[in-house]
Amino acid sequence: MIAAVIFQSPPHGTAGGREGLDAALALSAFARRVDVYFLGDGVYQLKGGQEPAGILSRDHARTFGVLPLYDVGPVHVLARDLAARGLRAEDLILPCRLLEPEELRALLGQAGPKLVF
Amino acid sequence: MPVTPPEGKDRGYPGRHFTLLVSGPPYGREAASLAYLFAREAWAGKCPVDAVFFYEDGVLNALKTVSPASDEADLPALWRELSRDTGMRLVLCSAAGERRGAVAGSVAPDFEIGALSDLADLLLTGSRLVQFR
Repeated sequence: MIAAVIFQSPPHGTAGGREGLDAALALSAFARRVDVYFLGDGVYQLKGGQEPAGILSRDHARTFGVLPLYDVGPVHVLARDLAARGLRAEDLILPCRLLEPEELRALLGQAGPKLVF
Repeated sequence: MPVTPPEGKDRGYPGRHFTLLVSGPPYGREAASLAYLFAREAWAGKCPVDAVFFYEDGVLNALKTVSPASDEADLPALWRELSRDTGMRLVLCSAAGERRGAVAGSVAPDFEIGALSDLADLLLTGSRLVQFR
């Protein structure tokens, strides 16, 4: 089973990042592969240099650093989502595969269960 | 073009089992209501829903203290009734529940307090996942 965990929400304002990360780690113990996608404002989950303690939020970017340790991935982002937000791959705390929309469609078409956060 | 399901016991999607993932609360957002209606219609169409897994704010559907106004749908009660009628499992994630006060003392007995590994187990059986968020 190839599971896909998709992050679409920004890191602060909802707990989707935190709870989606837990889901990805839990699935990785069972699924053959867990592919991870950060789409739209979800790419902000991976931005380094966040200091959210002042708004009582966790520093999610740091937490996502454990994904490779748990053999979760590959981690994908849409190149155009980064560009639209003035971000570059070097701004992200994890090495990511930059995708074009048609590549994203093909990958999601192959995946089994998809969880969105 | 609309597809007409075959008649008889295999009406709908033959052999298709569903697992629902509910990420929305019982009141204030539509996700859990739509999940309930989906589950009810799936059973009516002979497509078993193996389990409903409650995660994120969805765990609040398990609270036995939810009491909406008398002219509003009582989703936690509807879940319990559907589960009793069909045998469908209701499972919530304990970690998500603890963060929101949905714990052993406050959760209705029809709900199993489980973990994300239960969701993974359900998916490994080939059950088709539909998420409501």
